[in-house]
Amino acid sequence: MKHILTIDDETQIREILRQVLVAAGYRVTDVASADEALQVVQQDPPDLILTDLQLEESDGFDVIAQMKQLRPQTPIILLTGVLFDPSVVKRLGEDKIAAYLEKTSSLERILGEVKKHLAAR
Amino acid sequence: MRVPFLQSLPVRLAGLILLLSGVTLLVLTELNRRAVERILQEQAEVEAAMATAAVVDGLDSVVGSTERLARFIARDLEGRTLAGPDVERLARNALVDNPNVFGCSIAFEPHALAPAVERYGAYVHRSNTLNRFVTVDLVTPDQAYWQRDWYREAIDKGVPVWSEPFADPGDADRNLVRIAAPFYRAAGDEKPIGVVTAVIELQWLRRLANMNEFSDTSSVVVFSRTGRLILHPKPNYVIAETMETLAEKTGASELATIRQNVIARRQGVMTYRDPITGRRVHVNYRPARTAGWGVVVSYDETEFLKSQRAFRDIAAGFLGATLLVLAGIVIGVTRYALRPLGPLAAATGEIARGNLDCALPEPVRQDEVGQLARAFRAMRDALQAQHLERRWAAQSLEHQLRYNQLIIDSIGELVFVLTKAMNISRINPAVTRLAGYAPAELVKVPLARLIRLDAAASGLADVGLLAEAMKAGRGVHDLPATMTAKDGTALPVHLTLAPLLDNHKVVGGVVTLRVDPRVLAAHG
Repeated sequence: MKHILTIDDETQIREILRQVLVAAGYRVTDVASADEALQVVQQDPPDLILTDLQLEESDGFDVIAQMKQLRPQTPIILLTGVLFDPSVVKRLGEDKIAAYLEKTSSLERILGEVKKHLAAR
Repeated sequence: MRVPFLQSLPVRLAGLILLLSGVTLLVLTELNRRAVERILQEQAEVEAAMATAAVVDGLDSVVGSTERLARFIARDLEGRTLAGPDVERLARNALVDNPNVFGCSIAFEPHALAPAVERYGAYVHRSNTLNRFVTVDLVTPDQAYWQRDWYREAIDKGVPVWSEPFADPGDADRNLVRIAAPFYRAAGDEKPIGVVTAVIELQWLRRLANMNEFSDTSSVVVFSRTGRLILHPKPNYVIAETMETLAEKTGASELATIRQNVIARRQGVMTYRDPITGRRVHVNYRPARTAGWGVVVSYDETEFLKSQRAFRDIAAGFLGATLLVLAGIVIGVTRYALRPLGPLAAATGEIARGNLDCALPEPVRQDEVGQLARAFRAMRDALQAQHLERRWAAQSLEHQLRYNQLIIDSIGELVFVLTKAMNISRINPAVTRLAGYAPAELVKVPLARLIRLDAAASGLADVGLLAEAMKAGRGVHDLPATMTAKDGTALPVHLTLAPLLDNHKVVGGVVTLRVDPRVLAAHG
C-alpha cells in the first residue's frame, strides 16, 4: 500500500484529503507543521508528498527543499491557496515539485495527479 | 429500522409459497381421497351384492334340501305299513344321509301307525357326541306332540310349514328351525295321517355368513318370514328380537322397511345413518327363495374406510411435516438469498440521515442481490466522493473569500465599492476608522453625499461626472477631493476610480481615497 504524506496547517483540509486518499486505497500520514513532516520523511518515508505552501512557523518552500534533500525521488505535489501567485509559485518550485495545484482544484483532479505520479514511480 | 419478523420478506415469501403449495396439496389429497373412497364404496357395493346373493344361495341350498328331505320322507310314508322301530330307523337314516339336518321326527295321528297304537311319535336328533343320536318319545306327557303348534299347523294346513327359529333347551341346547310336512295314507287323500319334520341347526348359518362376509366390517343378518332374527352379529339378538323390535330399539326405521320389502319379495340397497353410532350404514337385502326368509348384508362406512382414513391421516401428517420442512427451507433459502437486503435497507436509512460512512454488506455473491449490494456500494462511494468534493469546494471557497477579505481589510487607504449607479455597496475598515462611518450606514448611499471633487484641480465639476467615466470603462487617478467624515470634518483626499469589468462589461467600480499622511497621523 502506497504511503502518502499530506502537510497542511488546516485540520479540515487534512481530514478531507485523508478520507479521499484512504478511500482510494492509500496509506496516509497527515501533519500540520514542517517539523512533523520532516520527521515523517525520515522515519517512515512516503511514496508521495502533498503539501501546502503556507505552514505554521515555516515557509513551504524551505520545507520542500529540505524534503527533497532527504528524499530526492519522492514526488511532491504542491497545493496553494489565495496568498500565492500561481505563476510565481510555479516558476519558483519548478525544479522541486512534480505538480502544482490550486486549492480550488477538485478532489478528483488532485487524486488524478496523485495516481499519475505514483504510477510513474 | 429493523423489519418485524412476520413482515419480513422471507417470512412473507415462505407464507405465500406454503399457502399455495398447501392449498394445492390439500386439494389434490382431498380429490384423491374422494376418488379412492368412491372406488372403494363402489367395490363394497358390488361385494355386498355378491355376498347377499351367495348367502341367499347357500341358504336356499340348505333350507331347500331340508324341505325336500321332509317332503321326500312324507311321500315315502304314503301307503306303507310300519312298526315303531321302522319309523325311528327311518328318521335316524335321514340324519345319517343328510349331515346338514340336525333332527328328524315322524308323528302319527291316532291309530294311524297301527290300529292298536293310539299315538306314535319319535324324534331323533344328533347328540353333542360325534355320530351319536338321541331318540325322544314324543308321546310322553311332557312332549304331547299332538298339542304342539308345529304338528297342529301342518295337519290343519295340509302343506309343509316352516317354523320360526327356536331355542332347543334339551340335550343339545341349540338354536333350531323346523320344516313340518304332513303325509297321507295314500296320494290324493285330503286328511293327513301324520307329520314329518326336519330340523336344522342355525349354527351352520353362522359359518355360511362368515364365508360370505367380504370384510371385517361387513355383517350378515338373516330373518324369518315374521321378521324374527335367525342370524345376527350379536348372538343375544337371535330369536329374541325381530326386525321391527330392532328398528324400534335402535331407532333405525329402515330395518322395518327392509323387512316389508322382503315380504313383498323385493330386493334392494339402502343407506342410512345409524341413530346410535351416528355412522352411515350401507345395506344390501334380498329375500330367500324358500322359507320366506330375508338376508341383509350391511357394512359400516366408517369402519369399512377406517384403514383408508388412517392412511389419509398419515398422509395428512406427512403433508403437514413436509410443509413445515418446506417452510423451514424456504425461510432459510430466502433469508440467505435476501440477507444483504436488511443491512442495505438500514444503510439506506443511515445515508438518508447523512452518514456516508455506514457499514455495507460485502457483495460476495454473483446473483441479483449481490449485484444490488455492489451497485449500492458504488452509489455510496460516489455519494461519499461527491460529498467530500462539496466539502472541499466549500472550504476552498470559504478559504479564498476569507483571505480576499483579509487582503482588502488590510489596505490602509479608504476603499468604496460602488454600484453602476455610483451608490456605495461596501467599504473597508479604513473608512470606519478614519471617517467614523459604520458599514451599514453607507450601504446604498450615493458616493456624492460623502465626497466632493476639487473642481479646479480635478477638472470635473462634481462627483456625478465620475459616473460617466465609470460607464465608459475609464478610470480616473489621484484627483484632489474632500470627504465629509461622520462628525462633519472635511478630510482632504486624493480619489482614484477603477471600473470593475467583467468580460468587458462594467459591473461597478472601486474608489480608493488616499489620505494625506498628516491627517492619518492626526487620526492615529
